[in-house]
Parts: sequence; structure tokens; C-alpha cells
Amino acid sequence: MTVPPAPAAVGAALDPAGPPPPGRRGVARRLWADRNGRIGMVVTGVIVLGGLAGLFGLLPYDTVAQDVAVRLKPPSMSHPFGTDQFGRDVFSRALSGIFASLRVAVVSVAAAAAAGTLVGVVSGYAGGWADAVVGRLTDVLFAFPAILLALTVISALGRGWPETTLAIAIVYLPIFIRTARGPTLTVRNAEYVKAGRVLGFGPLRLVGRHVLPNVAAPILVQTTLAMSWAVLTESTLSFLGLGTQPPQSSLGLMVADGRTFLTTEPWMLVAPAAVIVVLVIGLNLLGDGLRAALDPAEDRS
Amino acid sequence: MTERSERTAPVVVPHAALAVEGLTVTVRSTGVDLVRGVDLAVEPGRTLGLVGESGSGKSLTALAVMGLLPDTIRVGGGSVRVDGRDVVALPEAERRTVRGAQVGMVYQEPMTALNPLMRIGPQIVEGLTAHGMAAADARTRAAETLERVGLPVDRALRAYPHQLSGGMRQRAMIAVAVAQRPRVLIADEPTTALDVTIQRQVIDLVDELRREDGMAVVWITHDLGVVAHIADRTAVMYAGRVVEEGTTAELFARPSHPYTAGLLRSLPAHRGAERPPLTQIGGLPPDPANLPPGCPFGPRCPQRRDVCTTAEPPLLDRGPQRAACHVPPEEWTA
Amino acid sequence: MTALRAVGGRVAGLAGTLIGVAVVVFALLRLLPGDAIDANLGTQAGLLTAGQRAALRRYYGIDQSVPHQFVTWIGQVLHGNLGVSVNSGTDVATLLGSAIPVTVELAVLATLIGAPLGIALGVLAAGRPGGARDLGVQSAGLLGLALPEFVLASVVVAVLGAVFRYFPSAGTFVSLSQSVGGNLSQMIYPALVLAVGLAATVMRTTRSAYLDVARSDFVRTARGKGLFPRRIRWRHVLRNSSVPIVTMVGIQFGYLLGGTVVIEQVFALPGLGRLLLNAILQRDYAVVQSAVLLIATGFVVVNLAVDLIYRALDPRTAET
Repeated sequence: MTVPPAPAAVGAALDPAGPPPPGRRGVARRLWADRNGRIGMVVTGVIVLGGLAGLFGLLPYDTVAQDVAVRLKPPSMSHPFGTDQFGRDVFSRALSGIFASLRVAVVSVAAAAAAGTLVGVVSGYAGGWADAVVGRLTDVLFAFPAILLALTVISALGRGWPETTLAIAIVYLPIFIRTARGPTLTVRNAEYVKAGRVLGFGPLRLVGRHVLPNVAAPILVQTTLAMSWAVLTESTLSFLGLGTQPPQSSLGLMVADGRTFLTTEPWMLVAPAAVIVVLVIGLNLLGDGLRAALDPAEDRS
Repeated sequence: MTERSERTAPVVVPHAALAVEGLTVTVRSTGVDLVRGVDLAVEPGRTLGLVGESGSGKSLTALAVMGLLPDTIRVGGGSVRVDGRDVVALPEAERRTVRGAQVGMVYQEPMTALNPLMRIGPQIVEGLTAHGMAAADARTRAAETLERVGLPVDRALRAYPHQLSGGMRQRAMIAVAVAQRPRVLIADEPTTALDVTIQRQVIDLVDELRREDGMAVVWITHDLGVVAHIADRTAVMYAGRVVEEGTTAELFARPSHPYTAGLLRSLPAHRGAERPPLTQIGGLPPDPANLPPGCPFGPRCPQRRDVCTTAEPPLLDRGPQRAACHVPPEEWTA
Repeated sequence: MTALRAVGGRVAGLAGTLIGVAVVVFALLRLLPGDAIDANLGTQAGLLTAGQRAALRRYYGIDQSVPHQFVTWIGQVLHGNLGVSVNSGTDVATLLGSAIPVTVELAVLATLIGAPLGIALGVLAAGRPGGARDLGVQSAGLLGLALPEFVLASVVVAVLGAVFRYFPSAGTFVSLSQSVGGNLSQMIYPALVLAVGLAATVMRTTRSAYLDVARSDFVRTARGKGLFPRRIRWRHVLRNSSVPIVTMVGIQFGYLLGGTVVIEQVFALPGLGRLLLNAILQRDYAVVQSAVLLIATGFVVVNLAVDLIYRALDPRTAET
């Protein structure tokens, strides 16, 4: 895994304050200037808005109530994505499916990022046996292919969205630990941090002022990429019947339901599938854009 | 431009192995010229020292001669003649037959300039076979060449670059270039990455190969000491132009451009002449996209006159050498 | 000598990792609500008397200390005694034995299709970065990454049914030993679906590795020797990009060993993934435990192999 080097601190050796962390507004501007980043922000933004509509119940139709009178209707003005075999509005169900997917993705990735950063920074900064133990633990977790680890956790915990969330968080935990640990080691051994130790600054101050700003960028990039994987995994697990349970709507479940109707009523499968694809592409482009915006090497222009 | 017509015609060297005339190198996207009308010539068996700070355009000149400029940069004008034939206009397929075979190049950093996943032997052989030599002959030639550059042949043939020391790597790099017996060898600061003791050996090796093969050598460096040691003629570059050119002896004895004079004063062990105190040239070289009006060296020049801020001086005859300075050395203030 | 020692170190590390994996899998079983008695007897476990329960606890060995149980279990596993599937009543080792070839074949086929495709597309895209072909390949790659396997697989199965009247089902599976042609005609579609994601990942790795190498000094040296462009492209750029590319292909192959769950489910192929999924759905823990342990072991061994190939490809790491 490539970890961006800490900013070169040639003149900073004498300055225990170290280099200033990159400004937040600068990153946002550079993200917008990057073509991938811009497309990613817009696409992700639109889908997230749809998910928020699902969260606040701002949907044209009820997502669970059945209405046999309008079953299997093709897309129209009143049902933009058509209806399913129970007469439920596919558009409304897709929006609430976005919410179900994002709920799992956001909670699991946020938990993994927070816990992974904490563990990675602490073990990287402390070194010694604590670091060795964390290293062995992440090695063991990395010995499971990602989807297998998720399945294993679910088999122990049971089905449902909270279990799926925990499973995805556990899969991503070692990745975030490694992402945070690398820059921590680099910064810990940097001259300006050594100087800070000599001057008697405590570990909390050094970690807060120097380590965290350097860890933030790779963690942020990893977070967007993890989100896209989490959305895919959540929908996969739901498709397999292990994630969100019916009658709640979820994009993966909708695809599973739509299979039988693919040749006759294709909108039932195409609509939720397209939403997943667009969301994952958006998150990937956002990640690419963030990487470009945060990479010091791209700073030349 | 009027200054072009004012300029003295380049010294025509009838039997030059390499003759560069009016070479301009331009950034594609911005149109900024990084090399601006450079003239150079080297006869067979002679060494030209090409001196300048980084960013002066000396390495770009070399890459333009080789036809190896990055995609973002192009030759904007002028000619590069190898044995009398202009190679700039050649289609890429023909240009390839010139590279390596007629003009070879030794690069600055032998660690990165050699393929790390390939043994030295094949790295020499592939250049020979690319120009039509039979594989068996090429292997014989590779062994001979390694012998000539003073490497243990059997070991070097089979070695990967990382298995050799820095000095040995640079010898291998030289072997890659000279195995093809090129008419011209361009050496782009080949000693900067080496220890001082090894530097001298590499310099002497190239000099010896030049004598044996009758190669024309262009030795690019920022180190005037090296130039004094091996170059017959020296050209000094500044801001993309040659600002002084002449025989090395005369140029060192009577620098006719204040920049050359400044470089010489910053040289610690300059032979002859009683040593003036070491000095540094103040300021920084100009940004090529934003050259000052008049002489580009003007803002840093101790001899600056009014005319220097309005007109860029052409290369003018100054005794035996030529210098791009409005002020003849006799009129310099101390 | 040093190379041998490095390999030895790797193998030792692998053994350590596998023990860790076994602990995790074992802990998984201990985490489950209830114990092996509940797992095996289900609701009937509630009818047991205290005496019967104690006897059964002795029988299952769960009256022993946890470390003792772990060691006993590992001993059993190492002797190939994986227990019995509660649902089918079949020996777990037999179940795994018949499922392994299906999954391995699927992974091999997908890699054989996806890796060359991904490498070719990556080289094509890197030929002129930013050009029309590059944008086209990159967009296709992004789509390949974003298109969930279960969507593509569902569409392929539906199309196969509608157009060719072919309906995959577990009952009609033809193994490679029964009929090579019959087997391949069943395996080719799921392998193609798996190859899409693999090709997209390999394409991205190839493209960035190729561009990195093409910028390096020794490629300029190669051009300076007057080599033919084709030789520069193959012998220098692609050969030197091969280290990250081969690593990525190997890692992807390892993922496939554990990542064919969806494909096997949709195409009704009797491989490890489907076995594991059904075991999870039916709470058949002996099968879950063994399948997870087996797949993780396979994954770790493949990763070790990738590491060794990586060393063989780069003479600089071959000696350290």
C-alpha cells in the first residue's frame, strides 16, 4: 500500500511547530478543479440526496404497502421506474434502498475508520510489543478474503443490517489500521517530531499537531474507496439474503426479486442495479479526485 | 528578430562529427523556449565541454540531439547535423538508426539509467543487434567492450546493475554507449553521482576511449574543473543560450563574458593566475517563461550598462573566442 | 543462501498466520449462542436432563478448558477429521472434497480469461495516456469495477434462459471428469462474469505500472540505444511492469477462491462458496468452520506463492 510521505521538513527541524496542516478550503477547491473529483462529487451528491429523501420519508409512494391494481407497470409519469409484482413503486423503493445501503456503508466505514485510525496511530506511535501484536492481528484478518470474512462474521452474528454493518466494519478495520500506521511511523521518526520530544512536548500534543494531520489525507481517500466497496458488499449480502431483510427495501434484494422478471419487466432489475453502479462509480471518482487533490506530488501547478 | 541578423555566422567546422545550428527547444503547451538558438560543433576525436547551471538548457540540448525530448517539449527550430546529415527532420524510423549507432549517450545516474531487471550483457547486446549486428558478433563485441572499460568481463556480462558498485555501474553504462562505436558520445554529467576518487577514473576512461575510437565527445557538466581537464573547446550556456564559446585554454585565460568570469572565480583550485578570493554569483538564473528585458544575465551582472536592459547581445567575436556580451573585457570594471 | 532463508522466514510467518486464522475460526464457534449440543440437537436440547447434558458435554469434549478444546480440534482437523454436516449427514471432508475442484476450476478459468484481457487493455490505455482509447478503456474499467457481480450474473443467467433455453441448476452439474466439453459449457459463463471484475482491476494496475515504468530513466536509455519501439515496449516497459501486474493477478486469484459465493449461487454450481452459503443459511457450523478454514488457508498459500514469484521476477529482491 502506498502511503504519501510526510511533508519534507528541511527547514522545520528547528521549528517544533512543524509544517502547517494543509488548509481544508484548498483541498475542496482542488477537488472541484479535478475532473474526476467534480463528477464524483456531483454524482455522489445526487444519490445521497435521494437517500436522504428515503430517510425522511419524502417518497411519492409507500415502500411496503402492496397495490395489486398497479402491479408490474412499466415506467410512466406516475411511476418513473415502474412498479413491481406487488404493485409497489420501484422509484420509491430504490430511494429507500439507497438509504438502506448508505446507512450500512456510512456506519460501518465510519466505525472502521475511527477505530482503525485510533489503533493504527497508537500502535505506530507507541511501537514495541503493542505494535507487534496489532501487526499480527491485522495479518490474521488479512488472511481472509474480504467477502469470506464478512460471511464468517455474519454466520456468527446472524442476518440483518446491523450484523452486516459490523461485518463490513471488521473487514475494513485492518485496512484502516495499516493506512494510519504507515504515516504515523514516518512522522514519528521525522526530525521535527524528535525535536518536539526533546523540547518536552507530550505525546498527545505531538500526535495531535503532527501525526493526525498527516494521517488524515490517506484515511480520507481510503474512506471514500471503502464506502464504494461497502455499498457493493451490502447489496451483495442483501442479494444473498444475509443483509437487509424483507419487506424492508434494499437495492440488493430488489435485484434478487427482479431476476425472475428480467426478460418481461426489466425495469425491476435495471433500476436498482443502475443506482448501485452509478453510486459506486461516483464514490470511486470522488476517491480518485481526493487522492489527486491531497497528493503533495500533484502540487506543482 | 534583428539580433539574429547581427549575430556573427557560426564557426563552420568542415568536418564536424556533430554540428548544431540555431537549435531551439520549445515547451509545446506554452510556447516558451527553453533552448534559444544554440550553435555547437565538435570534430572527430575532440571534446567539447558544455557548461552551465541546472536549467541553463544544456541537458535539453543533449536530449534534442538524441531525439529523446519528453513528449511535452519539441524542437522549435534549427538543425542537428551528424556527419553532415540533418537528423532533426528525419522520420522517426530513420532517426532510430542514428540513435545509439552514430550518437551515443552516457547518463547522469547509472543506477536508474540501466534496466534493473536485465543483466549488463544483454543491455549491451540489444543495442548492437538493433542496428543489424548478428547476435554472436554482438556478444563478442559486448565482452570486448567490457574489457575496454576495465570491468571483469565474465562477471559483468552476467551481473544485474544492483550487483555492481556505483563506479562499475557507470563503466557498464559507458560500455553500453561505446559498444556501438558511435561517432559522437554525449556524456551528461556522468560523474556527479560518483565518489570523487571514482570521478577521475571515469573521466580518464572516456578520454581514453575517445582517443582510441576517434569519437567526438560532448561533456556536459556544471564543473569547470572537469572541463579544464579534458575539453578542447568549451561552450558556456546561460538561460537557454550559449553565452561564450572558445578553446578551453583561452576561455579560462581570458573569460569574455561576465558569467564565465564569475564561474571561474567560484572555482577553488583554478590553475595558473594568482588566486583572487572565491566569490559567488549573486541572484538566481531567470525563469525561461519570464526573461528580463535585454541581456538575461543583466540583473546578476557586475558589468551591467544601460544597453544591457534593452537589447540581448548576440555572440560577438572577442579575440579568439566569442561571447554574448555588450561590454568587451577591456572595458570591464574590476 | 539468503534467498533460502528469506523463503523460510516467509513460510514460518505463514504458519503463524494460519494458527491465528484457526483461532479466529475456533473463536467463531465459541461465540455462537448455545454450544455444540444446542447446535446439534436444536430445540430438543431443552428436553435434556442435567445428567444427559453433562454426559453429552463430555462426549463433545466441551467440558475441557478452552485451550484444551482448541488443541483437540486442531488435532482433529490435521487428521482430516472435520466432523459431520448436521444437515446432510455427510462427512464434511467429503463435502469439501467434491466442492474444491469446482471453485478452483472457476478461479483458474476466470484468471486465464481476465488477466490477459486486463493486461492487454491496460497496455492499450497506457499507449497514449489521455487519448480517446485511454478514456474508453478507463471508463469501461470503472464500469467493470462498479457493476456488481450479482447483477451481471443475474442478467447472464436470464439471457441464457431466454435465448438458449439453458437453465443452470445444481442437479445437472457436469464435472470436469465426466465430460470436459459439457463441463466447460457450464463453467464458461460464470467464469466470464468473474473475469470482468478481475480484468478491470488488472487493467488499472497494468496501466499505472506501465506509465510509471515508461517514464523511467532506463527506458530513455533503451530509446537512446536505437532499439525498435516494439522491443522497448515489451522487453523494457512491460517486463519491468510485470512485478506489480503479476502480484495483482495473484492477489485477485486468491480473492476468487473465497469470492465465488455469488457466482456459484446464481449459476447453481456446487462449489465451496455455495456450500458455505447454504451452511451459513442452515446454521451447519461444522461445514462453515471447515470451509472458512480451508478457503483462508488457500488464500494465504496463494499469497505466499505470489510473494515467491515476485521475488523470482525481480533480481533485487531475489537476494535479500
